[in-house]
Amino acid sequence: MKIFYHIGKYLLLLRKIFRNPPRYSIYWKQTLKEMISLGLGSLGIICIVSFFMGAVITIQSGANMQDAWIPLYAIGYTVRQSVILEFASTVMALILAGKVGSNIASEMGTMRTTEQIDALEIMGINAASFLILPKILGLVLMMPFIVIVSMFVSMVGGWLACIATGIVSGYEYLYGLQYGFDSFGVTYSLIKSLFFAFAITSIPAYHGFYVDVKGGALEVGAASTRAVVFTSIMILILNYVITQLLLI
Amino acid sequence: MIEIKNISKSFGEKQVLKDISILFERGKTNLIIGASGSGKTTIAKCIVGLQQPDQGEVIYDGAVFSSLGFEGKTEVRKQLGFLFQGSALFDSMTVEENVVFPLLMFSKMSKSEMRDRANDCLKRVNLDNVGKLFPSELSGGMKKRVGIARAISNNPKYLFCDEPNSGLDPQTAMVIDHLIKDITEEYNTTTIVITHDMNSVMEIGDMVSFIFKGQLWWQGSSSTILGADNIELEDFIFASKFIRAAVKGK
Repeated sequence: MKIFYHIGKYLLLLRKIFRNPPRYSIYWKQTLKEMISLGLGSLGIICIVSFFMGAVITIQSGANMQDAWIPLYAIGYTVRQSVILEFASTVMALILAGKVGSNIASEMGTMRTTEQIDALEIMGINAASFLILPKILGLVLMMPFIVIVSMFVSMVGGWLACIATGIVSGYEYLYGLQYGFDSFGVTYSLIKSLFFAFAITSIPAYHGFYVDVKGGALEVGAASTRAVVFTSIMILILNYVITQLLLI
Repeated sequence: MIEIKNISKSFGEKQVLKDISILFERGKTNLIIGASGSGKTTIAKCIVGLQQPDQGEVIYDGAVFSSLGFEGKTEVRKQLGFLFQGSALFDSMTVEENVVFPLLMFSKMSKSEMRDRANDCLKRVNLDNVGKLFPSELSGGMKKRVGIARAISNNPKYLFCDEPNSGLDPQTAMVIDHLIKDITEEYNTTTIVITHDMNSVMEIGDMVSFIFKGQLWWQGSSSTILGADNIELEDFIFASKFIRAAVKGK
């Protein structure tokens, strides 16, 4: 039954976040800061993971498609479909849940235990809105960009793997990447990423915002772990629901 | 002026505050004293609305706080300065940005006016050339002073100080005490200080309320507290044998 308590409290926090925001000029600056910190700050890890992910998918596809009846360009096709439909959005979201999610939860938790959130509330500022809304907006605005970068870098990684291993020629790989391309796959992936970005920021923010102050640093650490676990689960659930809604 | 009427508050089975009524006058330093865990901080949190009392009312200059809507509560809070026990400075901001913050949120000042005001407030608490530093680079006493500067930057009508001397050496503690007293007189604020430091009581206490086991046990001025005929208060004041011997000659 405790799960319903948390869902209710989370929904109330969301209402608080979107109600009575302070000055918009300050919001805009905060949102830009968060876009840089959460979005651009994550590009390094996203590029590294995407590059190797694309390379490995290419090698694995090549190793499993030794049948003479399967055209070699199918490797490029497989890489493209895997990356666009699943890896660039869902796997990147899971990685961001770990990186960004734990960061947000520990930041909020520390602010709560050191009474910085209380200080905002006492000043008459809607602390939930002031602290969390820019993070949500920042990542939601940056997520499509991150996903597109991930798609591109993955495919480049796959292409370099083709050249390095020689399992398929660069021409065949590039042909496969373009073969039967349907842009809805990209749209589907970008739509998913927006929901994931919302979950990656709001769920850890909830865990940090309502951290049990009596637990101190230990509780902040525990909240951070909980945040990553619940966000990851939520990403997987959202992935299933959105896929069923959009692709079937 | 702030008045609390018949405030009660429980956490689960434990009743922390029992039917407390106190009047905090304007232009005076009103002290709430008591042992650790007696309910002092809970009173302050109920007054500023961080916690809801189970029973009773908090009245700011005639306005019942609990009956105000979001806008009304925000208006009251804009006139409130709060010095936290741990200073609660924003880690991600410099000292100057911390002091400017309340002005940035609520005033219509230009940026240069805000900066001037922040520097005035920092000078008022005897801090110069620290505006560009981050809170982590300051000592405990400096953090408290920045906390006071932030609390007064918006010209508050009400000033709350939660254990302003905790963790400070006696000299710095006295500087902070006198700063609070001076600011109260200068800005004519309704000041409420939560403390268990008897030096503070004797130095700045215009009106002292002693809380014992969640109840208002004694009330009076600092000049009458030593002669109060109250066993629990006497035990609290004279917990140190040295002070008892010095004052009572025992």
